[in-house]
Amino acid sequence: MAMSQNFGKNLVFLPIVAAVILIQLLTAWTGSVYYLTQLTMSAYYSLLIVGLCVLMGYAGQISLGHAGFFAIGGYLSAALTTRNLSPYSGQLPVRLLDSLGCLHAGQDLYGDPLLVVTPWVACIIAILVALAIAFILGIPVLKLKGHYLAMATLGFGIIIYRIALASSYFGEADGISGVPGFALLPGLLVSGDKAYRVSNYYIAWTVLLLAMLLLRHLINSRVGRALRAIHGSPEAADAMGVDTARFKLKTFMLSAVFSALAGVLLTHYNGGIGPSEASVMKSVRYVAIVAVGGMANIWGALAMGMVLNFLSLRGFFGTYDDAVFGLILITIMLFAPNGILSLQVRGLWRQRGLFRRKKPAVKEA
Amino acid sequence: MTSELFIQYLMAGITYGSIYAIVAIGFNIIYNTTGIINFAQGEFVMLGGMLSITFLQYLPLPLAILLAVVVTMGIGAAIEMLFIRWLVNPGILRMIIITIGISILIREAALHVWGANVRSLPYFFGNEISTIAIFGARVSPQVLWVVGTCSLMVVALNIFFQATSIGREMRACAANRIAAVLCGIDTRNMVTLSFVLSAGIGALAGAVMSPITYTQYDNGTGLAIKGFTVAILGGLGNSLGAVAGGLLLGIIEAFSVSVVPLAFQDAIAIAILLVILFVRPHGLFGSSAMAGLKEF
Amino acid sequence: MTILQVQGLSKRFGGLQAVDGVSFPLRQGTIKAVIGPNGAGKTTLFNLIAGMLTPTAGEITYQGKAIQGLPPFRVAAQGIARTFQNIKMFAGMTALENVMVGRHVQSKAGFLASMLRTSGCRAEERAIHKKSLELLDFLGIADCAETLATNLAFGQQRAVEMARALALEPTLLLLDEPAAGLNIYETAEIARLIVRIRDLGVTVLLVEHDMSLVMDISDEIVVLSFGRKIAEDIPTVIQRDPEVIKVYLGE
Repeated sequence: MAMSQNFGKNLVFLPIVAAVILIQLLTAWTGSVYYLTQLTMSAYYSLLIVGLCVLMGYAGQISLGHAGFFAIGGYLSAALTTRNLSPYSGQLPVRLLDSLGCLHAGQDLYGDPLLVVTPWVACIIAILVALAIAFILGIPVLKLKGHYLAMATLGFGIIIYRIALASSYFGEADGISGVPGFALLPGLLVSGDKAYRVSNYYIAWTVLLLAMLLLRHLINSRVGRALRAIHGSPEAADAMGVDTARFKLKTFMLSAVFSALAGVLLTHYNGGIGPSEASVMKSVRYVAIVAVGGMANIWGALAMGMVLNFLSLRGFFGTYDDAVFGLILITIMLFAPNGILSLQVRGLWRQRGLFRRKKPAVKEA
Repeated sequence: MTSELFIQYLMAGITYGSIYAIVAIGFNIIYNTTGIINFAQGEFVMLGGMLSITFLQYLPLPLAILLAVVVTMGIGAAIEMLFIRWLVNPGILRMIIITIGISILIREAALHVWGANVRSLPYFFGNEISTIAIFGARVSPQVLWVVGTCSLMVVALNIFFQATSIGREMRACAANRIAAVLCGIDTRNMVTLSFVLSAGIGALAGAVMSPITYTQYDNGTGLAIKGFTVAILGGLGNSLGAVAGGLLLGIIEAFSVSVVPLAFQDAIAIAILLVILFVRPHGLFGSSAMAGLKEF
Repeated sequence: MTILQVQGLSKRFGGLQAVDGVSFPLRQGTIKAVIGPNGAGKTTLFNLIAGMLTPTAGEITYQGKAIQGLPPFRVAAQGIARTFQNIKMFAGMTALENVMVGRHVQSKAGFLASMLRTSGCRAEERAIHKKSLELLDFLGIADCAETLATNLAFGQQRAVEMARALALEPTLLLLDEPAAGLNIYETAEIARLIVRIRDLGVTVLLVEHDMSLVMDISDEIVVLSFGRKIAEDIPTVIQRDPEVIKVYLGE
């Protein structure tokens, strides 16, 4: 019975998978394959956004610094896979990495020897660093509430931005370009090369939907219930034996990993990363999208993440891009603090039973 | 370090410090009456500078600044009436997001009106190279304008809050909103007034600092972070603490120039902010018992 | 056998001595009530035991372990569950989900296991679900399982809170004014319920205003006045205690 129940719950993914395939086929038929580029990028941004959604909506912790984790992932993997280690090839750490097969030798444009870290290793290092920073930062920061938490995470984001902007290792204002493709499996390359456009679209969506599946499981589990309990009544959760500090911290780390992974993959896809990815405006934008999606609603976050990022990347908002996100933030918070779906539409769906798993037994009669 | 250099750093620190203090006091005024941290506080300062520069084309300097301050006050009032006044019991998270949204809108509007160029008001007396000697160090006379104006504002605000009936009503509203309502104080107007006041002092500071620090559409965020750091240093809601905190941060920043690379200057304030938040969230001068009563 | 021993427990708030050197034992499998006029320090005493407050002095020994000053979630992990005077439901969760949170300390799936939905995790989840439904049934509110807890009637919320506390499988249950806000019928029902819980082998410590409830169900009563214990005995003796009568009825 449980098996069928589980299967039934995950049926939610079917229409989405169908839509993903349909959109790809549509772009192929209509000769507008170029849309796939922005759809792929939006999927990676949405990966960050659904992670932030769990942190904000379920654990109830605001973060105005998640672009920082994205940048940690992106910048580290970019720097490690492009910065030449051959001048240091005699030194112990480099020799050690090399003997473990973590390095890739090649030639640069001028035929000089180039020794860089392989994408897989760089990816793992980037994610571990993000995890470690989230852990170290999270312990003191998550003790704060409200304005203090917002400002502290904002401060973290700005520090990451400053580091990216000020250090030559990270390319200062130019960022890092020439990042190689990332072969997830032989023949499955994360790369912005036109030849890989379709496969990358599917890679991005596979990663995103896998992430959704994991988060869905998480939310409907002991951990998810504990998180929602913390949100619902911190004292009662505490009295039920929930170690609130620990759960907040772990959620913070989880969302940091999602952000860093998004940064790693998008950087390989774009072939580079610049400091604007670490800017405060990006962090604010992610918060805006989570808010529009309805805070504690990963599907809303996914939908809004796709729509808003796609429109923004297509240049739909023109020079008013940031202003649009500002306006969205204000409007949503003023008129629909529970997200766009909380407006009439959702009420309608509820009535028709589309959002219910079980039809309510009619008791009035 | 020579004594001239020392005094020069010190004066620079005091100049910036007074501006941070004004931004922090702006935070405090609104926080005290509403419990909201207005993330758009830095934008008032930017607006003060930008509007003065624009009005200067048509008006003499004092009038241009006056008009800029009045217009910014109007914007402050409009923000409160449009976005804050009619919300029933909004959560802190909601208010944070709304004021962030407002700050983005103001900043983007400024970008479209004034462009991304750095602008500045002319020096009130003399020009970039005119200096006066203080204890053997040469500093710009504008520094005196900044420090003088900021000090006057602090004194005037103190008199306002202590000696006028409106000021006392605002303090009553800060101390206990419900009790203030029961005493017949119109707390909603007090909230509007707090936005007007903090917009006004921010704008005036923005105008007098413009010749030295320049004005750009995105000045606000950095100032807001520093102002907030100072407000926390001095204990949120404590304006004399804010003055001390402002001077402290300004001087630390000024002297750190010789140690910390310029690109990381902003990081100093943030590092101080993070350390203070973790170690003494009630501020250097506040008591933890008092802080416990506040809703963060 | 003594399951909980309170020894010389004191709590001072600034100039106010809210609890002053209170000592009493709690025998396993009994119902003990703490009563006293308003401001006697009942709630403070309760919060000291539940870990919400740290005592200024004194010891709380639970099954041989000192637990004073432990945070509430660690106290809960020892097998001590509690309810709240002004009910604290988890907003946005159904009655069933509220009770399922109560299984927290009796289950262990972490972030990774939950995300991957391992077979162990699935089995645990089924067990949690089953046990929680049983508890709702035990309290006679099984048909409310899928209703948002905050939409339930007050009495039902109280029952959900009780089920949630029982889901911990506590050896000691702390009840903070369980009859507050209930009418006499509901109070009588709660009284029967508390006795049934005691008969399951759970030790109960309750703080209560409602004298009839306390006298009916308690095995022993502790009376506090101005933070001090002035009497401790079985209900029939307490009812005749001149000092208790003086405290309650005045001179």
